[in-house]
Amino acid sequence: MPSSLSTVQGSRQRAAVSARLMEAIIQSAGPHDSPTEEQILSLILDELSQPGHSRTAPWRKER
Amino acid sequence: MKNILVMQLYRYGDVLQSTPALASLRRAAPDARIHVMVRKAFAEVLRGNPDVDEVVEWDADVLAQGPSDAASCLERMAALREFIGPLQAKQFDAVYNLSNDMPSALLISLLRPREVAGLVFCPDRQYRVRNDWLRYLFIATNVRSLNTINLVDVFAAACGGADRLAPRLAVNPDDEQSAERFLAGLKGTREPIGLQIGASKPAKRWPAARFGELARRLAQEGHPLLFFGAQNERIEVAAILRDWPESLAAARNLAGETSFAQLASLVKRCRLLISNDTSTIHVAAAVGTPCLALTFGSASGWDTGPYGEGHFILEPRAACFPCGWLDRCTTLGCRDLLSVDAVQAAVACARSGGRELAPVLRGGDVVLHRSRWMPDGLLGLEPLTQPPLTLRDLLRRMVRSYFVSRRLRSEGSAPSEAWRPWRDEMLLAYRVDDPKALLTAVASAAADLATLKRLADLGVQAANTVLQRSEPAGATPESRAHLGEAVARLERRIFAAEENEVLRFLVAAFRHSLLDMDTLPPRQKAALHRWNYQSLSEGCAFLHEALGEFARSLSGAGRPAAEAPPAHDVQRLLALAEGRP
Repeated sequence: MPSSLSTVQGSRQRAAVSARLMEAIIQSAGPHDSPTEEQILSLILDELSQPGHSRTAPWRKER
Repeated sequence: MKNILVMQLYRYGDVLQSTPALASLRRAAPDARIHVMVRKAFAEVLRGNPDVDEVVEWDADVLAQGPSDAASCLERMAALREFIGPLQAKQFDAVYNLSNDMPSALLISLLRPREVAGLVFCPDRQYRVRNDWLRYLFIATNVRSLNTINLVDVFAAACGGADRLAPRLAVNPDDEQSAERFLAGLKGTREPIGLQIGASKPAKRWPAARFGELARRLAQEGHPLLFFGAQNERIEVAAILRDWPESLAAARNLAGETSFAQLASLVKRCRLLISNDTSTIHVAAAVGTPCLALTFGSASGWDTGPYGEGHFILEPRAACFPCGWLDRCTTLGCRDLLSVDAVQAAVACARSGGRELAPVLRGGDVVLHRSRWMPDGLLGLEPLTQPPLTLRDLLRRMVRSYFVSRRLRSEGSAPSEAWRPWRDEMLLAYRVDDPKALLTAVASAAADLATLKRLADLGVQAANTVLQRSEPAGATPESRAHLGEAVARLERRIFAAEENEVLRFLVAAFRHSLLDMDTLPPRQKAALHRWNYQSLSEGCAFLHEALGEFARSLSGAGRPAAEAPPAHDVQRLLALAEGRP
């Protein structure tokens, strides 16, 4: 798990780049379509680039 | 031949805790090909495991690292595609996701298995949990103070087993032999005691200075001491040994020195392992060494304690214990309740097999538990020190009794029948210092449940209204809107009741079930809503009846204390549900 500030910042930068990439990929599909394989791959990388990715769960984000 | 994938993307301890589930799958389908996906760093836990045909190593760290430019992102995507391709080709019949993180759920959506248990990313871009036991785990994680089911039991049951199988860890003669050198020249008149002073998070660590003092006392009693741990714990152990150069001259600092298999081999030789909430307690459970786990903060022995009978858990007696996952406690006041005297007394108790109970363990600051099989056949903890019974102690067992008998196993027994064995055990294991105060708390809880039940019954009526219409679309837009508003208001009131600990587990289950309904057509959705409201109503009735049963047995008067709730409690709950102060 990244702990130093620089690593965390690096992760955020990567997430930002990944998000832009994701956005570009999503352009190719309508908002109600099932996600494509490429989109899901991008989502996985996006998740992995978040600090503490190994313990991220949806119910934490809900609250 | 069935092709199965089990995903466990957490740490050493979680992988070990999943091994009984693997054994359950193997028993159910001896010819199946069982693949297990684990993080690369923890793959060694499964080495030599006969229930595993193939270990799939998930190297998340490599995929998460690298430069931040777009070209690098595309490279990582290509690497991920290369990883997933061969897995897609296997066309899994079933995937069991024992992790609850989003990457695992996303990976599953790419594998497109025929069946899924656990968290999955759905085509409508929502995350959902399949399988009742794993859904229970998600609910319990939000309401940790009331969960009493061990993670191993949840995993095993989710994979179709309930066989009380111990975690499995292969220790071969080579491991035993190579571990031997760590014990050469070890002095002491008794069998060694193992200690692990570290943990994955600082908030799970009992202070190193207290471990040092405890070690000094144990060494004085003639116990050779083995300090286990990860490489990053080595310096702290060395500091302890430096603080007590004479008393701990013979102690061994093995932190960071052993392989996983050597660690298992050494733990196996210990008379007892004393540890924070670490993977080593699960190693101890796997090799049959009794364990004394020190739990506080976010570490609860009920859900992640060592699996199997005869382990000991020392926990603080604090209203806020255990922390919820989202809590960020900075004071760790509950940790301070575990004094060196209390832990030393717990060690003596564990060594005597639970017979020696020093007065310090009865003082009210701590509770010493021993693990054993409970009336429902699953693991649980029994207090050895007969602590004063609280409403929360009651609720914990009642919630378990309800969920296991009704929601997870669908047993047809009456609430009183399901609950009675628990009630009898509790009356023996706890003391009731102030029956009047406890009965008042029980009556108040019963009143809260009665109010929630009324709300749930209103929900059933609303769902029936929708279902009884021959054509839902035939209703006027006004009437549909009116009903929709009423149901939304009702849901808000039910959600608000989650603030109340008595109701929290039931409401969390209700809220969680709603997640599965997003995309259903109206009639199907209404039917599921009705089931959800009915389940909530039944849960309230179950707990209400169990509380009444308990009150009757405590008061001996045959009058259910729960039937005449004080009016102010009803008002309080309604005010809470409506968001009034």
